[in-house]
Amino acid sequence: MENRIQELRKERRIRQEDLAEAVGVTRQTIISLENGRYNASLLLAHRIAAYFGLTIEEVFLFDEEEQR
Amino acid sequence: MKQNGLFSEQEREFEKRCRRRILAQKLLFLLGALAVFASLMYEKWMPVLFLEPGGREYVTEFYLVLGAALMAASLVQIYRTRRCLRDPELKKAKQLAESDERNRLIGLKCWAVSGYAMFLLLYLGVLVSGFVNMTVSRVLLATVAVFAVLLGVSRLVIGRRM
Repeated sequence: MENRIQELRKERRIRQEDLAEAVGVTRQTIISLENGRYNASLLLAHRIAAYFGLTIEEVFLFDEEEQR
Repeated sequence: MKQNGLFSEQEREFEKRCRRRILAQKLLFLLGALAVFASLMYEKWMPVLFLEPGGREYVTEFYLVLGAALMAASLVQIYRTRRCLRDPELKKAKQLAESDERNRLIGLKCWAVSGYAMFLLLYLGVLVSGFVNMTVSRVLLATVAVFAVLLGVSRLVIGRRM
């Protein structure tokens, strides 16, 4: 699943370490999320969206066709 | 998972886990000591069936080394866990690494892959060992059976909980 984490993080000049610490994961997890190698759980997705002050749908781009 | 502050697992829960770990390691240390004791004293009061030559020496060496290794490993783990509890930075890093969902998922997948591979290897062992040694064949068969039962039971239990 694609997401806008890197885009949003850079816009706000937030480091990966800071985002990781804020949402309670390791920096490696943030890297994997940004690279699309790992899909966040619902709880983590909610945490990240809340951190950016956005909804989950605004951060994570769910493509139903791609999932099929 | 209980939340404290913005989004973090409660520190107390992690500390409790560490203390339980220390207790488990102490038990392992005792088990190791018991193995060492048994290896040195078995001839006097623990009858053992030996079907192969060199069996007595094997029992002494095997349980001595196993017991010593258990004792050493548990001491190291106790030291590392206590150091982690004393050092706030180390404690925070360890807590994060353990609670990280991606790390947890990697751990689960590792166990799953190892379990599948182990089951397959055991089965292959059962197929081959019948032509080599009856005792080995029976032990492997029993191991496969226990593995299968554990798998079924854990599936039932976890399926009901979730």
